[in-house]
Amino acid sequence: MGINYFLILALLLFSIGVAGVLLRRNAIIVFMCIELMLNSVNLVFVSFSSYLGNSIGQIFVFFIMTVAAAEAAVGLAIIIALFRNKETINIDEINILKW
Amino acid sequence: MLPNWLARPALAGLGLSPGYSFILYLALIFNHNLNFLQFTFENILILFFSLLAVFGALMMVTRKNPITSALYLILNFFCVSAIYLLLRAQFIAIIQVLVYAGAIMVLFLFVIMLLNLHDESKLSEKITYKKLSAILISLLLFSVLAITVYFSYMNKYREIHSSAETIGTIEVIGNELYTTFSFPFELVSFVLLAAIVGAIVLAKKKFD
Amino acid sequence: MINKADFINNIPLLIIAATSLLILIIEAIFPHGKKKIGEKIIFYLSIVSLIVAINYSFPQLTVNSLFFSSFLRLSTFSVVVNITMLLGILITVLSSKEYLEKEGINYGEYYSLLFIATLGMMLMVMAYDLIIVFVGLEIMSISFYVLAGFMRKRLESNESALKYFLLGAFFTGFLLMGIALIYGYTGSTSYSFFTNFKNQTEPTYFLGIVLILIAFIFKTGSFPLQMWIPDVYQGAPTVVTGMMSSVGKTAAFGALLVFFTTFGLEKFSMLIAILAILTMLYGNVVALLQTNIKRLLAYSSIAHAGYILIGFILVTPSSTHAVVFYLVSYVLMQLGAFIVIGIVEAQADTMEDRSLSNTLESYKGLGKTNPGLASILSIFLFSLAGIPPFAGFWGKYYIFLSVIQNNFIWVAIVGILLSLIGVYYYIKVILFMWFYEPVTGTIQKSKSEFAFTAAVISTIGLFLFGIYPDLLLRYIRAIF
Repeated sequence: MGINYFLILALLLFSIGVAGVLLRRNAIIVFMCIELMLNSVNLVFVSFSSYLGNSIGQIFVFFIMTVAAAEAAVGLAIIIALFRNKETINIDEINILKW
Repeated sequence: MLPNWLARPALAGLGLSPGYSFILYLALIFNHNLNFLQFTFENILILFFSLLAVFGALMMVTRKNPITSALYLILNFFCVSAIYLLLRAQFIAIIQVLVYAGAIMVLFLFVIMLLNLHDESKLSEKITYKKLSAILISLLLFSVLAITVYFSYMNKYREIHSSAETIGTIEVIGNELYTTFSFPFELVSFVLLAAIVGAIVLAKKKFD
Repeated sequence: MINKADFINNIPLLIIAATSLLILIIEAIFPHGKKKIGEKIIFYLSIVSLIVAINYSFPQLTVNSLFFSSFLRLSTFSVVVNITMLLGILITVLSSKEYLEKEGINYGEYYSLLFIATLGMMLMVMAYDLIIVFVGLEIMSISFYVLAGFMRKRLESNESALKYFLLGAFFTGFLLMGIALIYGYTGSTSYSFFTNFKNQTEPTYFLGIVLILIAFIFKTGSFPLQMWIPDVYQGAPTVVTGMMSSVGKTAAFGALLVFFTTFGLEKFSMLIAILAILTMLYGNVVALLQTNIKRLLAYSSIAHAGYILIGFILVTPSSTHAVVFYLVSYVLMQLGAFIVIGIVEAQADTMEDRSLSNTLESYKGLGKTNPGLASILSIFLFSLAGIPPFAGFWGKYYIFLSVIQNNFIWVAIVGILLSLIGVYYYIKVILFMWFYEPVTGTIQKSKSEFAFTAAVISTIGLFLFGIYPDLLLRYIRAIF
């Protein structure tokens, strides 16, 4: 099986993630879609790494995972802080500032 | 999130994108080498896990309940982890389960349950103009990305590199991380520090 | 491998990193009763370490080599931009104390995150590898998300942080996909490697560059992806807004310039020219309609991103010099304007008054109630408008000069016309301050001595570089 199969799978997942970010209004689900996008980028890196026989790709995945974990912590903290002040996480209702 | 000025031309101009996807699909099927159809055990596993991964992703995007979404995302992460294993990336496969499925998604589930959210109104109930254009935009993005990548790598990299099995081990990756990549490795600790400090500052209940 | 020379040549970076950790320790050491002493120590420590870092940066101006196993590259360009950013952070630290105290959020964490963000911004500009660009960008962004939401009790601040976070993380995905495609084609992430691939037309490589450009267009707030700027800038604490809009943008533009020179993106020049014009048009025209001064300056910062983007049409030595000069003057004037807004905001007592104090209406008659503040703000606005005796004028002058030299005369003509539109809304604020009667009762005299000092420092900088631009150009001309 050639590399194309994995790349196109990853790009498909990436596009689903983009679609989710644009479609959904729930901040947590939007954030989950972003995690899906990062995850698909990881798949691109790992498949290139395996087919090229080059370890940089897998190292990069390591960094992406660290950053994704950090972003998850901060993002969820922001969502909690918002929820304390206004009992919603729907993006459409968050409109004191014009979007 | 999509500004209205963008939605209008996007919808008008990008109506062609399903056409692109169809051409891509045909190109995939009539690939002259037909490596695609060698039903070895490994290929069947890859096919199975990738279909399951796409299924998980689609369900995650369309479910109205955030908890269901999160569980489908975990399914997706497990399938991607299996694909990593089939790509001979053992260390990354394990880390994928530990970090993504184990830590990040548990955090998500924890927050969802903490907030006690109500169900979102069903996605299929209101396919508005804006949502339609969002789907079209992502389809176009997919076709642009996939066509470019597909034709660039059509005749390249047909087999996994012979050294892939050694590269994926924890020895090689650990060795690289602590020698060549020690500088970025130290730097990501600052990412984590900022995240720890930030999460406490934002979410702690009382501050004095 | 890392050796001693790496550390000796990167002392400013180490000072910034160490200070961020030290602040956290000091914050933890002082118990509840002695919080005031701890805050004082943290404040002065920040100032001292920034001054020391700036001081140690100057000897680096002549260094031009790779460090940390060729992950970082010190060059005159990166050092000049770093000094600019450190100066901006110094002014920010000076201006934040009273604002945060008034808001009741003067925690050590603020300063620590500010320093971590500075570390990320310095890394972005010095990066010689896409890994460092990514990690630096994330260090910066994560700190900014938190800083934007630092006023936890205020809904605007929460919202601003959430919007910034969701969009920022979304475009991080694009950046990473671009890096992944470039890695797949070249097999490396190091800039030293990419010089072999200059002017490649391979589609995936091209696509990777485009995806990275999209992420940078978002971070710099240029035209198609500028929608987050006004919301985020309005909701965030004013001192943080000033820092994000000036120093944060400087870092993004610095990293973008290195990216441009490495990848040789001459074929994008027409696209960048169009984007620059649209950015200027959007920023200047929408700013005319604003009634909130933070929002007005946010749109004006979009317009300024457009002016800076003109320098990217063709990256030549003269356009690089123009961009750096513009960035220095932009940091001083944008930051200064936000400091004054912060001082005015800190004068209001209740929370509602503080939100209201950002409307243009409440700036009516500021010249009568507080002439010192009003005259300083007028200087910043004149400079932003590009009126001659200030540094902002020379920034615009060199940008337009460089683009004329590169045979894009039409861009210069359109840019000058659009900056004339911009003059209108800056002058409007100045008229409000000096030629109207105060709406509310007399505002008390400001008690924000540190912030006032910071604003005065920026003013002096603007005057100095406006009257003797050679003072700054001496350093900038050494870049190539």
